[in-house]
Amino acid sequence: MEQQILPEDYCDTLGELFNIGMGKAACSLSEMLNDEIILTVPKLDSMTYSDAMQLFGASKDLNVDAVEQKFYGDFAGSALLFFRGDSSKELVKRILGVDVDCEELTGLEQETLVEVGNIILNACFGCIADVLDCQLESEVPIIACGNIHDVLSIERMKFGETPVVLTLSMTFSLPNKLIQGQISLLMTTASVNNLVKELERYIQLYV
Amino acid sequence: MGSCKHVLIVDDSKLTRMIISKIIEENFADWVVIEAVDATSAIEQAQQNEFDFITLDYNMPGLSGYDIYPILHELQSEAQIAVFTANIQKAVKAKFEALGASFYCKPINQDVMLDFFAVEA
Repeated sequence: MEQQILPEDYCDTLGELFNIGMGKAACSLSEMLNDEIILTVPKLDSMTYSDAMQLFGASKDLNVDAVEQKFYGDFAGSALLFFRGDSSKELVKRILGVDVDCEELTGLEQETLVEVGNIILNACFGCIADVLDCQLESEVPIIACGNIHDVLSIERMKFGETPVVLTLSMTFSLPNKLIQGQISLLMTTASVNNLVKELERYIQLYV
Repeated sequence: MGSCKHVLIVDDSKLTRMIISKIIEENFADWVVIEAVDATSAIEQAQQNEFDFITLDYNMPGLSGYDIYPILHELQSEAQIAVFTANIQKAVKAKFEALGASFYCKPINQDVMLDFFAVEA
């Protein structure tokens, strides 16, 4: 059982903001795919980097396709949207209308996945910034494929210290196609403290 | 809208329940608010009390807002029931509108809530 870094109320609040962001993203994806996206109830957990690696199965030889987008402003970090198993290929196949049979995604398929990541992550960033009334900018998203240990490597993401991980588990599916996506935010302790201040300020409006 | 009304808030998000409660408290101090954190407790509350307004979330653990809308509507035929959801896809909105439900997009703010509560004004 992972130890929560953020108190439950903060996880609930941030989880709800992600929920709103994911709802907007699902609306955009639904129009792209001309089909309803079924969203499950999201759950946000906060944990240490080592707990997150264990949870994500870094000890196993697990390959993932991820879209990474760095964000900065009143708080900063790296957001990763990663897909388990063949989820990314299923999603790309539905969007492009072609079979994705190769082990690795081609250039066009990677670009498509990056665009999906861009829609989803920016919908979440936008919602968090709007509701918390804070400044949040994002860089151009990039693709990161391979072993999850390498994808989530602190060195690859150029973190100066071991980050805290906030992870949103939710599944979105298309009719008859389960697409499992997970969003994780990797942030320094100082940045998490800044986020907590923003959440605290927002929660106090409604206490 | 001076008379005391009874409101049932159905949402698994504590934040959303807090926001709606606060808006009611600030605008209708004499109204009675009951919160339900999931579909099961919402049905229990609807069996035991009479409500004027029900705010209903869509995505909840267990049964969804869509699953229990007909049950709540049957138990509380006089109540105004509206769905407040982050899932704003056309297909979702169409499903609820087919049931006759009002549909509001999250995030929730005072304007949205007052619009809903003005239904009976």
